[in-house]
Amino acid sequence: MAAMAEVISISGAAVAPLPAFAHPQVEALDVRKCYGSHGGVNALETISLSVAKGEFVSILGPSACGKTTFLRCIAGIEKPTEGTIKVDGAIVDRPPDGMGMVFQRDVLLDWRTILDNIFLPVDFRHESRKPYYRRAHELLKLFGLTGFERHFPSQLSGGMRQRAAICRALITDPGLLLMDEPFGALDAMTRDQLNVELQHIWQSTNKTVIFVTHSIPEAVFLSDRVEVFSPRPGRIVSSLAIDLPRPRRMSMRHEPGFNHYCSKIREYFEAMGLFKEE
Amino acid sequence: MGKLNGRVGSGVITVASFIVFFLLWQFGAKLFGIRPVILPTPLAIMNELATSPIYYLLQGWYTLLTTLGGFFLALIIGVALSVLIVEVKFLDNVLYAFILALNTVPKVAVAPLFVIWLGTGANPKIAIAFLIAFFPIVIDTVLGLKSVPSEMLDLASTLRGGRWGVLRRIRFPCALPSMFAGMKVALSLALVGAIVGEFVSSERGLGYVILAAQGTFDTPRVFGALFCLAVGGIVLFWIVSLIERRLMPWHASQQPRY
Repeated sequence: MAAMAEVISISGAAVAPLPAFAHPQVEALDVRKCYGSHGGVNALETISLSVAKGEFVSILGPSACGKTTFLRCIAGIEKPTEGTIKVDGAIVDRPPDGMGMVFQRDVLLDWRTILDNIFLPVDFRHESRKPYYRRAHELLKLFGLTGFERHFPSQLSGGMRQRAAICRALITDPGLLLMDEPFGALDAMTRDQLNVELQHIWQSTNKTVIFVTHSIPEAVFLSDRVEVFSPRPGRIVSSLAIDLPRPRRMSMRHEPGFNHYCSKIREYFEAMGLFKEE
Repeated sequence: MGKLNGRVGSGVITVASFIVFFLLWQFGAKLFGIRPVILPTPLAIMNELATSPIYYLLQGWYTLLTTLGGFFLALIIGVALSVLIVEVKFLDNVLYAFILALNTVPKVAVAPLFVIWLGTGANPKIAIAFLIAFFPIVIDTVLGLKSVPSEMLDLASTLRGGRWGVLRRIRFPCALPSMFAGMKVALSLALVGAIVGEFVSSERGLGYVILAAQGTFDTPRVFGALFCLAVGGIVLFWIVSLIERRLMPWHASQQPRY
């Protein structure tokens, strides 16, 4: 565990190490976000972050720390108050092309069947569904949803609904996948299962993933790199490369290597005054 | 009870309860010796309807056309205005507030005014039916179009759905349950509007039949017209429910439990 790339910032701004082998797909430079006019709520405090193509980066922090806000800025749904975000070299001023997003709630449309829901991005692009049928069925098979194409979302369990939401985000084969606490509303067992499935998808498709979570084991299990956020106003406290072999297995969670990272992150949170014992 | 739980079963229960109601009425009226001019028995009303069925059908048809005319006018104009109110912030502040304020005016009280403006033909009746049906449609449609979960709009935004795309693919389907609730109320109110229009000035329609029969104390005829109105109202409501079920097979109120 000696080869651990780690940068700890002292005064707010932290620059994550950029792997030399790839050019960045997402670049955030001095991003700040305030809500309301001057003197309003300060949500994000000068965040700089660079994510390479094909990298799996988690943004980990306590609730309401601004991590979701940051992700929404990358997605182009919100505008940063200061600083710039680039995706594929272009400044984000609206949702970029080639980006798929998965939300905490599955946001499936009740009136569409599972298959129709998965085709929603295609419909919004005014494209023909035909060339996407094969991909849709591959995705459904991959996530164990074959046979549920004609079901309505209300007929599916929470885990299956979120699987369908991931299929929807992947249907147009985006290079960048943004995930905002996608498994936060699921029970622990389903969550573990989906972590394994997500890792599998990521490994076989070489997508760039930015994954927001407040679960330490989840972040360590999935990520190449974990960006630890402070409580509001959010800033990057530490950038921790997770140097564990892939594919990672659930049983790995009991191994010392895995736990080393978890306790390391826990220490950061303890240092910030979270996890008080009494 | 097992067999009575299905759709057919609940239909049987409904019909049975109506039969019991009419039986109680029939024998109650006889038992207490209520005079027909006060309350005719169901059999007397049926007899009245049977003696001149064509007359009732024609008058009922006229009232139905007025009702539907007002209703569809309210539906088209109401939905169009609702879209504008939801899409244009300025109109939300100005027009919607204005519509809400207008809604507090008792529409029925305006009916005589329409006779001055539009004469004594079908137009003033359609106008009253429209006016009275218009508000529930606008209010429920605006509510439905506005109550789209914000995550859904975020999703549409990441998918770069344009205004029209979001309206068509997200806002409208989201608003449908609420719109149908509004339409059901609006349809019953349109019928009220048509009758009020016929009360004010008419020589045709079920409202006119009621008014004319009242003048001669022909109570069975009044009840005959009321019966036609009740049946018409139920059938219209039923048709809207049928369309609702067809259009929203996903909706919780339509789905069998699994």
